[in-house]
Amino acid sequence: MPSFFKNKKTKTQTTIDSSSSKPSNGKQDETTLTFEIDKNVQLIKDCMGNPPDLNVRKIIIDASSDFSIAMIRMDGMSDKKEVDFSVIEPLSKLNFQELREQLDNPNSAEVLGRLIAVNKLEKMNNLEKVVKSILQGNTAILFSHTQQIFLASTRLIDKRGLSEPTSQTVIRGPKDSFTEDLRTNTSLVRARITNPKLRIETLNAGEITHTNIELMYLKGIANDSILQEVRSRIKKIKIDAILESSYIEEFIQDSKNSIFPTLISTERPDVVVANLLEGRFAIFVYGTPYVLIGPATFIQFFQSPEDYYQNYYMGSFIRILRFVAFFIALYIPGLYVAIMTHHHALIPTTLLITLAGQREGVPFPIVVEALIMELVFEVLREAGVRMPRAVGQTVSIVGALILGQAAVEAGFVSASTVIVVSLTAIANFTMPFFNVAIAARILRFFLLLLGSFIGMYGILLGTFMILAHLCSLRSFGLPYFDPITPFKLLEQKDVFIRLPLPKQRTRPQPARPEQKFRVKRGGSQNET
Amino acid sequence: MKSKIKIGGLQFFCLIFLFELGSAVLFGMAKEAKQDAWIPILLGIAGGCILFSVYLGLHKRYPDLPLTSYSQQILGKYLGWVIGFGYVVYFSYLAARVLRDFEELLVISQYHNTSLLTLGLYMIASIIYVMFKGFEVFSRLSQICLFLFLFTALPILLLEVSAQLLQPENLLPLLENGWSPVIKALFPSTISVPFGEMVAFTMLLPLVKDYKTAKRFGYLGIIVSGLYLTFRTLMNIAAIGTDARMRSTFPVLTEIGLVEIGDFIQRLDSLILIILVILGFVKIFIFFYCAVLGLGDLFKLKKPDKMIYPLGILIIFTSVFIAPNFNTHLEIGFKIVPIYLHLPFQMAIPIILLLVALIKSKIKKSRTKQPN
Amino acid sequence: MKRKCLVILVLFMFTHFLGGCSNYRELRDAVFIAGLGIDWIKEKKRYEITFQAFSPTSTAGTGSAGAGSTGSVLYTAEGRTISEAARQASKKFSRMPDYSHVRIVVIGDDLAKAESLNYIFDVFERDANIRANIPALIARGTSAKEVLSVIPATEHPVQSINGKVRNSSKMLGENEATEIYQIINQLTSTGTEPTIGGISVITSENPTQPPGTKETKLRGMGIIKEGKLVGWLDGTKSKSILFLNNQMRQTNESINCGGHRYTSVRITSSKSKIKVHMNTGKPEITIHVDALGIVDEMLCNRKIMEYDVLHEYEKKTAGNIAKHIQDGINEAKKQKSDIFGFGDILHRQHPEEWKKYESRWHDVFAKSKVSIHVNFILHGTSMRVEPYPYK
Repeated sequence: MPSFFKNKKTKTQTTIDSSSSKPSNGKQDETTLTFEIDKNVQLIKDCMGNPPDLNVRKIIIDASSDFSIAMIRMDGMSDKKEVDFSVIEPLSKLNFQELREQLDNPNSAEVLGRLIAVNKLEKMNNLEKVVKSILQGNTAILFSHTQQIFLASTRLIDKRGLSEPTSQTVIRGPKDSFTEDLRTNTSLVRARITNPKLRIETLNAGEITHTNIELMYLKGIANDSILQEVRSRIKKIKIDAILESSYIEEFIQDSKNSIFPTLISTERPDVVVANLLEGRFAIFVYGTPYVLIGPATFIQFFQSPEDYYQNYYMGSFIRILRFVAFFIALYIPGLYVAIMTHHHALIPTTLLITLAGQREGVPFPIVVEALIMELVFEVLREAGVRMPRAVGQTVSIVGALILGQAAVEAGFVSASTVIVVSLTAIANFTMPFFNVAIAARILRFFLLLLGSFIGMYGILLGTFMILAHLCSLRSFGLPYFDPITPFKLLEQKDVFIRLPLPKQRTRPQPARPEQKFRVKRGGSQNET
Repeated sequence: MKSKIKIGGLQFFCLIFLFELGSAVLFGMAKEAKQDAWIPILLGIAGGCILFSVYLGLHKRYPDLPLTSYSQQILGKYLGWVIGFGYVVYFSYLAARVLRDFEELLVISQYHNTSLLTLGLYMIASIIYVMFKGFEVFSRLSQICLFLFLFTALPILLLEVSAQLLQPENLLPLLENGWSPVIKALFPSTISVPFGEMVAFTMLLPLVKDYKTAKRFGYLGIIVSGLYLTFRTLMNIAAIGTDARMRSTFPVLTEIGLVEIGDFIQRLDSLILIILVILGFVKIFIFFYCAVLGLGDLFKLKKPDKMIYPLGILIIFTSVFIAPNFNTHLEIGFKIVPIYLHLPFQMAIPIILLLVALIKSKIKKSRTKQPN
Repeated sequence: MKRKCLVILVLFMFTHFLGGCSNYRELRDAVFIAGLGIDWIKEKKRYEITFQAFSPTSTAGTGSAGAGSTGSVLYTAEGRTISEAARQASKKFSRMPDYSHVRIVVIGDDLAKAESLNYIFDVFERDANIRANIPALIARGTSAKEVLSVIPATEHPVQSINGKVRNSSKMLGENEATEIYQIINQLTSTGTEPTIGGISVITSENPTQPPGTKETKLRGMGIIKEGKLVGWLDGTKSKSILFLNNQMRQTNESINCGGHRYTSVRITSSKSKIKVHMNTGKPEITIHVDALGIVDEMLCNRKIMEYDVLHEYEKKTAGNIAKHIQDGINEAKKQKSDIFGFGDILHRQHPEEWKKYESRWHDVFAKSKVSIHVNFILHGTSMRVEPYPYK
């Protein structure tokens, strides 16, 4: 939900808080709707603290019998035109008698529904629900002499149009990405899977924000017990607000303290579709273009959708390259420092002479130098993300020239360290999902320190620790390192290399899908 | 450490393979048999299999219990407890010994100025970290270790061949001094290290999925690792010759250190340290873990994890104070330990346990039969 | 509790860093020794060690890469052991010497002749830092210090010597780079003796250099017997070692074809098989060499297309090879030093016989009977068949 909403609400009214106030229908107190239209309008206004964006329109139909209609809606959250044409116009055209009759009708909502041309029309007499509905962008229609309030769905929030993904781009492949609007997002997936088995369940979290969360899966393919686990975990979330899917991620992941992500977050609809088809679930959260996918395995963070859109030789090559890049991003600074301080023998002689020449006259010990340069790079990167677009050029010139070339020429740092740091930085950007790159970014410092303390031995032991940690991780109870350990030969088809799609007849098993085969055995593959 | 850990066959195989290679690769086995050193190793496989069948026989009778438990059932509470405790001490001592081996390896080959204690600390600290993650995690880790091992060992093998280092004629003449040095090398040293060290697995067999897996992959592990050791020894002799092998502390390092292709590929001995540390890690972990399991079992601890820190610190200090210098350490390792420790703990006690268990079950059977 | 203990352990790790017993060493704190020279000072009965080091020249701040900066620095020190001398040298070094990049070891003439070589190699085996697979050379007729003091104009002295050794063994086949571990193996084995290449200092004849400029040149292979240098295999004789050890990569033979004209045959590959057996107390050594080669220069008008001519060349080349081998063996027999490892071959082929003669193998070897069979095949004449007609 937009943040202005949150602030106002928490200050002025607490009765909205559904868990704390229980509406008592029979009693005549301030929160119960009355039969008087003005009082009801006032009640609703009071309930929200009479905000300036609350739009109340009152039409007096018949002054003699004091019959009037009031329309209450949030400005900016509802469709003004639709309210004008589909609600106000038909209602104002009706004559007073007709309207009276229809209101007295027990199924007045249905009758009125024929008149008011909106998607959905609901009848409510609970103040709290009405307010909530108004806050969601619906228009409340109040009539004189009745407790019933009709709510027409006129929700319309200005939203960003579809745009290209910003963090997970591909060369060949779909260019659309999710937006902040939940319904748009689900529609993007639905458009790709036109199958009734695609199921969406609505869940809710955020005690104050009441953020809509939707769980999407393919029935019959996704594992039921995992889905059950997801539902219960989402229900257990205790938090006041959910502003991004990462809030949910932190609550539902298995290991709260791990540096490695155990849920995928993507802004690409095709990634969601591919994962749904492998038996995973997706969690859509209102207000963020990042959709969570689980259960995840470590390998998945190295699988870019493009691997499947390109020739499989290229796909496999790029995949392996990505693992190498991850290795570089994680290890090269550590190994560099370890070799330069503990294992001089390992450097080929000619290279050693070059390196030794570079190190002459450089003031800092190599560990300090590497740490400084790594940190400087992290600062540069952070600045690159946060800075205003207009000064982008300046920062990149400062970064490249001053910190790179000038620092070397001035003899502050050695050229080899700059090379190593920039190699690491570039390697880090090859990850298709940036959250696994974050793990490499942080663990790099751990290995760098170990390497400087005790050389390659330390790095090796550090590797054991990292690997053991990865082996111990689970995502929704399923091993994170599947299928490397426990090793499954048949599952290697899409790990380090990607086999051609016709060869991948079974779904990958890490998510334990209910259907093993993608297509029915002996299916229509060869017939076309 | 969860109570229900079940290890699959492949992981069990990886554990055995890496465990067996452990310090055997490091020191070079059966040096006294000179150029025939590979023969006792090849024969040792058979000995290893026989010993393993004894351990398996015990495991079959008590499928859910480790050695420290069934020794109490077989020999009575007190004697069994003492024997179980003996095993705990034995495992801890071996863990400390292996740790010392690898500390010395690192000091001699790379870290001349670093203290044994420091190197031991790093090793034990990382082992403790993994141990808290549980044995299941470790057995999975061992699988990755096997990949790491293969990815490092195979290229080195290829490099060795392409550096034209191997001189097969070093292996001749065959059986120059007859069979007696071969037999001397075989028993007890080659059988006890590494094959007899499988006694540690009497503590771990209950963690394996089922008896059939344990049997099949256990034998497979012993045979494959034995064959690898044989092959390794053949390569070692062919590369550096018998004399250098006898003289060098770590023949494998000497061997790999000679590889030089062009100006770029050289000093691979630093690289092979990676393999050796992987092997050492697995071996120390297993002995250490067996000791922890044994203690937990003997003292009926609900959380054996509590024993990890004290035992770990004990092992570090034992490893340092076990011997004043490396030569004494080796002397103890090659002369005293095989006879006074390996022989009873690896062979005598398990065989006696199995015999007593057999006799007991016979007596039981005859008793149940008699009334009928 | 678990976490707390882990923190303690990590702190423990830091202590070693503070305690200073670490291997941490910056590149700029080390001086990298490229070549070692070992001489024997007779009067003092001490070793004199010459260290030829890479001189680190600063390239930081200049903006250019450090490539090509291969200045050299020479230090000497004395000691009763090599290690002692190395420690003594620290008075002269401003940095910690690092021996992991030693590329060559030069042994002084006096040391090789008068003192035994048996003792000096131990440190190369024992110390994990120095490699054992580096070539050793004998400073022929001079001291190791002299050899290492010769500074070529363009290269680092050690790289220059190393290059010469490698080049010569590859192109000419007269100088084998005997590596230290091989020398040790041969010294320890009773059935073989080492040969070590020689290097000497000459005055350059290069007119572009200032007169009196020194340069180094490889000369012959030294025959070692019981740890001492006893003689030299010079020129084509030293090819015998490479032929018999199957180390021959390339060499050429000049075949006389009338008058003072020669034809050059390039030998491209060769393989030898040696059999040794004892016959009434005398070793009988049978050597089979199979070699291949091409004609790479022809300075006489011969119709090489014809089978007979070709065959004649083949026979002459084979004869040449056999002669080199024979000369080499004769020289070794004269010195009573089995540099070809015939003893080891006997050991492998007839272990029982070997035991009888092991203790006095040198004398037995000197009496050996050698038969050499060379089979040479010319398999090409390069880009031309016939030479252009000389007038």
